[in-house]
Amino acid sequence: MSVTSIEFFLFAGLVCAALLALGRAEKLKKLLLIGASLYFYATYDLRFVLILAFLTVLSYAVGIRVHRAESRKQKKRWLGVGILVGLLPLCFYKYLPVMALGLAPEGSPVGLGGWLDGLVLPIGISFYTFQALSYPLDLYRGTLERPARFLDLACFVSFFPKLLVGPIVRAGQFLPQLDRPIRVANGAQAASGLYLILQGLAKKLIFADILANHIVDLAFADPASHGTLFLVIAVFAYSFQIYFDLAGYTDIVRGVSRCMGLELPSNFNRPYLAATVSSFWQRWHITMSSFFRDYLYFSIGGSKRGNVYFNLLVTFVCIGIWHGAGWNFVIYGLIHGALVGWERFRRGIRKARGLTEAFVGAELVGRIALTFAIVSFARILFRTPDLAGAAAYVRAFANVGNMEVPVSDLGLLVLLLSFAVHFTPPVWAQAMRRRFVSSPAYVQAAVVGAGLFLFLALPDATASFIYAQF
Amino acid sequence: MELGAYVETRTREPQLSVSARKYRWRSGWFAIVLTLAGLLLLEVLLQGRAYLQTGESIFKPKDEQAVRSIVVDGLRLYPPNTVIRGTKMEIRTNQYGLRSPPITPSLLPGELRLAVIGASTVAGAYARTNDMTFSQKLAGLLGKRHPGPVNVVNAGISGLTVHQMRLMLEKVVAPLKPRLVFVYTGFNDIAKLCKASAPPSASAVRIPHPALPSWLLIPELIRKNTIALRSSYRASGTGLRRANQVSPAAIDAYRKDVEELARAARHRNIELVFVSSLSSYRRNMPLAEQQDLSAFALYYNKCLDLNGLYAVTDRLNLIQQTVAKANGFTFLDIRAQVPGGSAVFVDSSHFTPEGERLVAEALDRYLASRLN
Repeated sequence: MSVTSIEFFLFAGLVCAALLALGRAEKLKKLLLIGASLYFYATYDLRFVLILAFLTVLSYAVGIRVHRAESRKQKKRWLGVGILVGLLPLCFYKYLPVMALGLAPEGSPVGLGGWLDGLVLPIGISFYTFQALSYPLDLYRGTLERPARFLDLACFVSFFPKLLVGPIVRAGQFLPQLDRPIRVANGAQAASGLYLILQGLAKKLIFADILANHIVDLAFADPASHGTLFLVIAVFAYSFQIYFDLAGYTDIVRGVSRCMGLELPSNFNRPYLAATVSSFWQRWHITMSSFFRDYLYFSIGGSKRGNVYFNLLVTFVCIGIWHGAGWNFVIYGLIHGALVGWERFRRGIRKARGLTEAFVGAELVGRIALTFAIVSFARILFRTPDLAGAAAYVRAFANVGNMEVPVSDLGLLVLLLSFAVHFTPPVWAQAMRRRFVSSPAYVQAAVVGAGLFLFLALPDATASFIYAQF
Repeated sequence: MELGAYVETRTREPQLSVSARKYRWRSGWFAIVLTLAGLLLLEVLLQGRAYLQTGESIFKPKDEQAVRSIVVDGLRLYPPNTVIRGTKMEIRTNQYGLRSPPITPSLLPGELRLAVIGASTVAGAYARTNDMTFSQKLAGLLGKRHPGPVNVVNAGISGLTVHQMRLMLEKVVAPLKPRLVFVYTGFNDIAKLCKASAPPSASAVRIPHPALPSWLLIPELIRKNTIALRSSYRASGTGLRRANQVSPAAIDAYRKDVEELARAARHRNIELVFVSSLSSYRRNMPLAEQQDLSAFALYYNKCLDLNGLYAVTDRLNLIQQTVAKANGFTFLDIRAQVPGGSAVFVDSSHFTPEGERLVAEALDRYLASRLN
């Protein structure tokens, strides 16, 4: 059941109605949410419900152990064991097949390697593994003062809107919401949820999917047959595609969740308006990058213990590997880690000289453009299946003589709109949301109707979410 | 007070204040209900319109809907002996579930009996009446020359592929003992090639979830009527580019289907004539015109661009030609006799009345030389 399908929204609507019907029976509401979530996940693959159940039980058991342990050392030991065991399914499904295939003789995916290669990656495993593990981590760090009830924890881990592609909500953020009664959204909250859903669908179906179908997929399918101009356009188009794809998903599930009376965190803050790579990572996939910052970077010393540059590199390589088990993702992480390290070093020197980091005017515009370009070109590693594919794409930049740009009028329009939408002042978007929420219902319904028409008319085909493969 | 708060406290405060009532009309929930009601109303209106124009809609019993063909022994057929009448279309089916005049199981004395097997183009997707399909126009032309009764069985059913055309030959057409059978395969097999060439999806153990019914008109009408929005390449002038990856296995499967069809005919001593499939877009047209005319075909064949469509069509025609030759049958190329363009085609592949006439005349010319 895709989150962009009408079936999904009818399903979510039914869950809302059932929550409303259950009145003040909070336990039943949580059971309903768990049941709905497991059903939703089973529409992708029934078998993977077991992994979800395993992680929930493990987190719960480890959480209790961590809470009850008397010394810091004991807590740490239980936490370490919990994290190691909790990461096992992720390693088994995501990393082991790649490692086994890498070690097997070329062209012979047989035996164990072949069997592992045939494994289906459980959708969302990278996301819900981290969310489940955030529970013992938050208990250890003191973000959560006491262990949660099992029902609450199961509701948190399995909550279906965020199950597949996040946002990566931490236990400390979500569980307190379950301590309060779950109240289905009131009229204004529902309008705001509806706006988020519309915004998310527009980002996914109009921007991300059209950019993918009309520009990006064509360029990356066979780069050698295209000219430099088109390949460069496709690099920037992919940057927008991946942003609108994940931001669209996040908006949709935040909207749905809000209608149910539960809040999920935002994931983006105009990432391509960042003037430095460090700033980009504070604006891009915020729930994921802050997870790595808080639970890994700080844990290995951050800027306080050890070599900060080494710590940065380790963190960014792990971010790269979280996306996929390939050298392209390792190098992607290394590039970003090195750039963030370099910026930190430079900032230190400027500070020592009494200079500020605040860019203004033309310099700010130039910095934003440079950061956007760096981030976009580094994503070639992200979009291609492996290093050889990335190298082939880069080699094709030499086709300077070919000036053909096989982009449809719609693709071109959407690309230009992507720039316009992303680089316009954020207050405009806020004003639009306020205007929608305060409009009469018939105006809101008309906007929804117009949106539905565009969502059906414009995309060629709905592409699966990019982050669903991670 | 907002609606949510009102719902929670309504037992204590049954009367809404003026401001609360005002807020109620700003509720997101109310907007959702209004949208759903609007969509429902629109769907009902569209179904009503479809009923008036084509005589078909979801309001009719399922077994009386021609477009929702029924399956008999693995073969799709229209509901037999049915008249489906609308302002724009009238479909009369015979006792075999074909859009064709009633026909006796055995040959009448002096009867010239032929058949045309195919899909929607043969059935007459846009032909207002049965008489306006090219098979019946051909019967009319033959009737002027042939002294006895002439029957051309229209064995076209929307959506048929070559595999199903063999079933049509074996189960319906062959027992009627036609002297000659035209096979006009059309383009459904190309769409099948695209599906067969897609990478296999990972095996999953899914539990089912309710899906929207396929008879809903809103999504399909919006998609079909906005093809031009998605397929315009005026700014770049290059035209749509796709990977054009059709797997050799899918082509081989098509070849086998055609061979089985030919074998089935030979086994029953039926003479087959493969007729080249016709499209509205032609290579000799300006590129922009080719793109406009092929938009409909590209919508249904997601793995191909214009060049890919030409290449695959040529390939499939060549297969038919080779198989026909190997089995002692004819491959009739009528592309030169039926030009492309919007005067002859409603979309990429279905005929206008003019197109139906031109095809009937082309087949008649062939028969004039063949039967004499």
